[in-house]
Amino acid sequence: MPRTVITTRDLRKRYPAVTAVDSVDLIVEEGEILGLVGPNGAGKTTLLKMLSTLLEPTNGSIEVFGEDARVNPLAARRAIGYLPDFFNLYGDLLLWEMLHFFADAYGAHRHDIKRRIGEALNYVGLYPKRNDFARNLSRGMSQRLGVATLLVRDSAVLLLDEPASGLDPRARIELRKILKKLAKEGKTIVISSHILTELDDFCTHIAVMGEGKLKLHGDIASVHRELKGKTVAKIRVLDKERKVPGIVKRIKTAEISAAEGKSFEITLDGGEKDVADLNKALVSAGIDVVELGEEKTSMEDIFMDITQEMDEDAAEGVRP
Amino acid sequence: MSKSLHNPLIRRYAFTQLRKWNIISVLGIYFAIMAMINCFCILYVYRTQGSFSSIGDARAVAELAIPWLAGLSALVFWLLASNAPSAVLANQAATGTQCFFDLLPLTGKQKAIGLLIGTNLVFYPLSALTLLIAAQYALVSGMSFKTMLTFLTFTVTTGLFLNTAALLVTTSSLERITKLKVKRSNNLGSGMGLVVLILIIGGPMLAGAASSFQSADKLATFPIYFFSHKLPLLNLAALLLLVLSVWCFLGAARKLGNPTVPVFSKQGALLFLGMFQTVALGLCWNKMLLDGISSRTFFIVQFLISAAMVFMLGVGASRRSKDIFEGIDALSAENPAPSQRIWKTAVKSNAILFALLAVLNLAPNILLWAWMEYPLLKGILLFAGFATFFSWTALAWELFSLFKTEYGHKHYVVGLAIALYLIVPFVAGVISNDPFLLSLNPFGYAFGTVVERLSKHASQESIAIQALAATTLATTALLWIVCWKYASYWRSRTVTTADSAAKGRAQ
Repeated sequence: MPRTVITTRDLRKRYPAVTAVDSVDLIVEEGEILGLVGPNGAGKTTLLKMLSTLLEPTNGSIEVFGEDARVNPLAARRAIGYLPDFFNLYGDLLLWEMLHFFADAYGAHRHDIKRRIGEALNYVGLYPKRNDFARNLSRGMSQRLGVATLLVRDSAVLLLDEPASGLDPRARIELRKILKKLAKEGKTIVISSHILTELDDFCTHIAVMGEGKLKLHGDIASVHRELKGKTVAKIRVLDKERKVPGIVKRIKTAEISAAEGKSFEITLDGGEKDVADLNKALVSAGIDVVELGEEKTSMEDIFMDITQEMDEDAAEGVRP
Repeated sequence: MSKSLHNPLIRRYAFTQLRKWNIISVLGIYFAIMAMINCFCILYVYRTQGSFSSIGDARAVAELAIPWLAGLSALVFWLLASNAPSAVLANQAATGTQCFFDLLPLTGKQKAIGLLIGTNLVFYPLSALTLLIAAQYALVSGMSFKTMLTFLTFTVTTGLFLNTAALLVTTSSLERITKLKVKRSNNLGSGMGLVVLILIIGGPMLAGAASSFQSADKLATFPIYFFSHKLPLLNLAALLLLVLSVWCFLGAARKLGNPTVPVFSKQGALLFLGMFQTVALGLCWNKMLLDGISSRTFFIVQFLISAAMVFMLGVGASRRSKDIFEGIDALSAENPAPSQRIWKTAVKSNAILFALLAVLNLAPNILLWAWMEYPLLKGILLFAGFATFFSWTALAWELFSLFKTEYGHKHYVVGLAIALYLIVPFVAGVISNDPFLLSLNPFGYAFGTVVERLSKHASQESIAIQALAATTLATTALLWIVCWKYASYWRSRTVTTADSAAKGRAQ
């Protein structure tokens, strides 16, 4: 069972005129890649800053590996690596010197530092530039170096705020490759981004924020089901495609939403169980199923659905 | 302590400070200056005496070189070493590397030590070297070892105080610098602060040391009373500077540990003010004892009342400022007419306190003289003038902030008018010795009433008045700083909020 890395309870950041984060209850478990999405001003950056202990909450609690981050911020800082949306690195240091400093400050053993620096620089593809000054790096390279500063300190969880903003397409692709690699290796990552397609490939979970509140949180499939209340299955059969509508009709919770030749898009009221039942029904009717899968909902779809709901709520709120 | 010295920040700055070319250039300049000083002194002695052979000539060179070496060590230890951590912090705030520093898993004390030592890995050894050379020259010139040690201790403690004070000043203004994102403003701020400090503290000391070098022993052993203890002036000054350095260090460490908290906790502020009052009382104590029991009692009453006042007004001001500035923000959100906003804010402001104190100030003219025989009432009335001054400054600050919130750059005009009102009549009054001009501004009014009442009712000797005025002046300056700090803290929070609100609206 995965360990709980971050837990927030009733987390708020209130200013006299604005409530930036309002009563957020969030749990992030080990190995989770959580995409934090929401419109501008939703409170994503404020939330990340509070999780990193950079900003003090007005009230509520933050626990990192069960330890209260407000009581013991130093322990939380050792566990969390935070990369803000806009940052500069120490331009007066060489790349290896900077990573040495971060490894040293975050408690790496001095015999281990050299190895860690080499690994981190190799990981982000900057090893050949280890003796260059950080001020001479391009924006994309700086972003990769930023990730290297997180790797060298071996943080258990990475908080990345809009890591791809301001990068050209090439740098963005390179950064995405690194993040995908980290995700595959089981790192816990909380990442906020406006470019939702960036998150699509590797996020396991999604948290949608709006007006400081956490509107939805969960794994991507369950969030989509919660939103739509339905699952979309895509099937392709080898033959007997004419029999498919009849079989689908027999399943009360299913209906064909699109058909093209031997491919069908079937909407089911339930979840994975209904998809399995559909498969069973088709196979027992003697239909050879070549392909069957639950349609992956894109981050963009989810984001659009939720923001549309929020807009509708807001419109209702202003009606007399 | 060893944990604090085992410091990644020191190792981080070692990378940049100890680069080959950095060391070569700094040492090159330093040894060139040193050689120039020595050459100049030797040539001067040679020219004036026509020869250079005897021990007396070496002594003359040493005597001539000491003020220069003192100046060089002041430049390195007091100015450059004080500026180094400030420049680093300002640079971090301006270039956006501040968050990495804030998030380091190091305690505030570790960060403060790391900054002080790490950024001065070149300057501290150079200062030590200069002081050691100066000490050698002092001994050659015939100065006693004890006197040399006294001067050395004083120079080192002054340096420590300036270094820690500069760090404190910079850490306290970091939030502002981060928002402004202007590198120069902080360097300018801390640099100017240091220049002023050095002019006030170091300038007369250096000039005095240089001109009265012949009587260095006399200066080093010049006695001063602290309560009933007779101590050498320089030793006492060194001790006080050391204590102040510890306070500055603790304040800076507190801010570096958590940039959003005020420099002092409430308990810390109280303890600091208590210490300050004790020092002020300690310096006046002996004279008061000589003047008799009534003066002593009077001063104890004064001490207690002023301490209470300082506490009440200082702590009260922090709450008031918070309420007022949050009030401004809330009112801005409600968006009433500007005139209404100003009126609403004024009602909640220090104006009420100011009015009450003004009435209290008039009390001696209204109350029966018999009432004035009660020491406590006498003490309170005595401090009404001082408190009026405080509330006036609080009002001025409010006015300034209100204009800043409401009318953008016009607040500079208000600030200038306030500064002129504070300074011009006071200076003109002092120059022309005109009491009327003096009483035209709060400085003159407050101190005028204090002195007048003392001389009228307390019938003490002039020394009592001077001592009381000095204590009051020092307390006022301190109180002003405390209140300003609290107020700027709350203001910066409000500005942050207003910024986010504006940002939110824009988005």
